[in-house]
Amino acid sequence: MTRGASSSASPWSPAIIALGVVILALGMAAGCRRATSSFRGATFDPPPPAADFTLLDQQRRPFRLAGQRGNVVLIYSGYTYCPDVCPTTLGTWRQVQTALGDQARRVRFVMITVDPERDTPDRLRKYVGAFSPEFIGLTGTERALTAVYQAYGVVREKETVPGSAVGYLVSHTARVFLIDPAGLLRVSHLYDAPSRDLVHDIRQVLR
Amino acid sequence: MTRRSARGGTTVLPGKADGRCVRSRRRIALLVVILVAAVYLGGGQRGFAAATIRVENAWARPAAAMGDTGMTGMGGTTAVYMTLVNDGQQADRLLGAATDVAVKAEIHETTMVSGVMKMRPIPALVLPAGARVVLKPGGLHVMLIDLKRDLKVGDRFKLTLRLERAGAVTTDVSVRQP
Repeated sequence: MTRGASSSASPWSPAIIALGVVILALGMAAGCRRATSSFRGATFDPPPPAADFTLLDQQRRPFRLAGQRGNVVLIYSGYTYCPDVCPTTLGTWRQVQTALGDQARRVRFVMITVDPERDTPDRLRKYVGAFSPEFIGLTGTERALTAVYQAYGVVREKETVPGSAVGYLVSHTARVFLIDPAGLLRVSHLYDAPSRDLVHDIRQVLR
Repeated sequence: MTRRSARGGTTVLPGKADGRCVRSRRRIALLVVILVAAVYLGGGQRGFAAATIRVENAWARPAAAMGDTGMTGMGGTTAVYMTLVNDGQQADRLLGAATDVAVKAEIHETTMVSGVMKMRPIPALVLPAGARVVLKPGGLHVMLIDLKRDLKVGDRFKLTLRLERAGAVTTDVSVRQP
């Protein structure tokens, strides 16, 4: 009886405490989740140092990734004969550049060719130049490029197309890698990610 | 309706050179113009069987000609996107395209196969009756192969589509960044 009386007086308090704990835990978990996924793209956790490389830019000057510390570097692999996917990415980058305003000066927009056979620095200059004079197009020796493809998981397949006027096409993975000012590989996005997602993630690492 | 009004008008035709007559002559002239225009436009629509296929919002991204225009497979490329609307009762098929700004134009489709972007030519793109087929980035597009000149934002050019039933349909393409 006494037990019954006590249970009728206090059963709510443990329940309320338990509920409070659950709410607190959920709140913390939500806070945690927000903290770990502050990026819109797919994150590298923990972020590895981005593999260094030196390639030739469209002015035939060497471009070394390690020389870009302090800036954000976006890396994309594509080629100048690409009519659809690569221009979609470069068109998005153009929007990103505009949206960032002054902050864009701290961003390097870099397309690395998957078609060194066709992509001379001159072709790369014309191609990226159709989108922005600040964009960078890189090529290099087959050996230097192969090392970059391996480090960044780039797959490329040269394909002849029967019944088409195209000389050949290059099927390729199409991801945008974001390297932060400390040289760490932080995030990757699909080629058609909306510009606002890239702008968001760039601002995260420029803080 | 136009025709009936025009016939009604002809009954007033015999008139003297007074004000009322001048007014009615003017009215008749106007009706004749409307009638001719109606017949012309109606005939036009019947003449171009293409009226059953409409092209909406055709656009292309800017691109450089690359300067190697003499060598096939080495020039500049871009893609034209648009919405094809089949207003007809029967399916049609897009068989090809041509434009003055490129050596060749082909219908292609981009697909992703385990993370790798691939393009393949589409020999005939089916446009079902009553359907809207959208050509957009990362999917169906008309690939312009070996550009003859640079395409800059604000440029316009003509693209002629070859359809199995509707015949040739020419559309204006605007060069822009979305």
